[in-house]
Amino acid sequence: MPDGRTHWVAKGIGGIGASKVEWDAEIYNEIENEMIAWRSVDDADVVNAGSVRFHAAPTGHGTYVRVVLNYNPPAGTVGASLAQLLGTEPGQLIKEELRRFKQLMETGEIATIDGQSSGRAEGAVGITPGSFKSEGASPDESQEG
Amino acid sequence: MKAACWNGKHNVQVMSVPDPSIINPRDAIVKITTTAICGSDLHLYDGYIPTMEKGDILGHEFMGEVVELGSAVKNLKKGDRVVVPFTIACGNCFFCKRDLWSACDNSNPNAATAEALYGFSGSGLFGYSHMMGGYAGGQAEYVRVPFADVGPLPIPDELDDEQVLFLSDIFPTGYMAAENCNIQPGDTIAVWGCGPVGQFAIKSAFLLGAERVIAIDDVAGRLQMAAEESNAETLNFKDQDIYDKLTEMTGGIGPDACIDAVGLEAHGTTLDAIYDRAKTALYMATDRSHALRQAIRVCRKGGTVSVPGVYGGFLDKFPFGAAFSKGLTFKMGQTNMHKYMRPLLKLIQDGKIDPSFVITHRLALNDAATGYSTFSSDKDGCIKVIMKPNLN
Repeated sequence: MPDGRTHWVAKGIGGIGASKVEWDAEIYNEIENEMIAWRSVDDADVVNAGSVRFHAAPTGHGTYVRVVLNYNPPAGTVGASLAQLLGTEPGQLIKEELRRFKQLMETGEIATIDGQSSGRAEGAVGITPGSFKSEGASPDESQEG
Repeated sequence: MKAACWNGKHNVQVMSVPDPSIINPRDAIVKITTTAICGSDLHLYDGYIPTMEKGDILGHEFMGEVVELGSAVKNLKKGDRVVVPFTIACGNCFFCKRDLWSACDNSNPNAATAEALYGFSGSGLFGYSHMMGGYAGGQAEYVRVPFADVGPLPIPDELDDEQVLFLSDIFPTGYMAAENCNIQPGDTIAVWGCGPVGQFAIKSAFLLGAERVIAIDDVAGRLQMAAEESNAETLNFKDQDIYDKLTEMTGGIGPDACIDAVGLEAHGTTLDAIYDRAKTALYMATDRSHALRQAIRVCRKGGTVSVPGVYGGFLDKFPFGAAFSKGLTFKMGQTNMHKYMRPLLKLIQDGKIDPSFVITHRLALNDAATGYSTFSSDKDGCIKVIMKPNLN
């Protein structure tokens, strides 16, 4: 955005009927190689503010990255938590994002098995005796994994 | 392609599944020429490992030809013949840089699950449950290999598949177990379990300078292999008291180091599963960690207990008092594969060892189900099964 603000859209919303939440944010504090702090502005669906800080770790241990995020539930919703909005507990969500960020920084890619082959894939069929639906499988054991 | 899929307990089926494709820039696709069933695969087969899903492609010991490369893999080329380590490592994290490759911090997409159980996650593994990454394995015609610029070891043409295949797991695993014993001249090493890892631990102990190796098992064919292939002294634990016999054989002081190549496994993912699996582990422990307890009891004072056998859960009646009282050193863990593959390839090239001695069964990939059931039941003198996708 022209004024240096950024526009954010979060999807994966469950529980409160909204399919997405949106907000504009401004960076109000930035120290090169040390920290970036932002806060939402105007009529954010989720009023939030946060920071990412980078600290030099002890020798050989790289860089510590610390994220702090504060938020208020969306206007007009009662008892909504960000967990409901995002479908997961925000602390764990941020931890997983940080893990992926670390992977990307250290390896150039994010470890994944999405898209790999398996016997669950469409069109997969047995070609020797045996059964995909194993004997004794309970009905709720999904084959789709 | 054809692939051996885990479809439930005691249910391995060869299925026609989609060919793998490059997903990340550091991936390669390898066309499998030879693959093997590992003793640890039997724990999957027997249903002890949770977070397996029906349709998962099995196998973590494999080798073959590079047929496709991601854009970031510069050190391999199509047509290269490679052995692939069973642990997947990025090569650039805190742990990889310290040669702790099996502790790679960046290769398990499901690290959070393992963290819940162990505090921290080890590296991703091929074909060994979703807690360990859920990567499709190599008992197949093709496999996707992540971080292919770090793991796969190119193999010179003059060595055949059977000589080098076990660089993928069991030779380095047995070797690290022996190296962990810090063997000094004159040492006597006792090895519990004479399956393939035990056999390589025995041979490696001699290679590293042990004067005597005493092999312990109750399967006659395995003890015979340890004696004939490696000149180990052998003890059948059904025939004698192992503590009495080992102390007698070592002038009353006990072996300098003890290797537990038996192991046991029990994993979990959620808190309740951990609790359930803990109960399973306790049941197994009363049954099977006997070897480890025995090793701790008989090991000489100040000696080392080295554990290549896989443990996953909680141990019952672990004799920590004995370990403390005698000042024992414990060494264990998944093998830091990448550290060992090159030096061990050199041992093979120099004729110091031919790892193919453990192979007892050669099958087509189509016969994977037979391979599992034969290995699982110790039928037919089975010690090690290898499979080839191009046989029918």
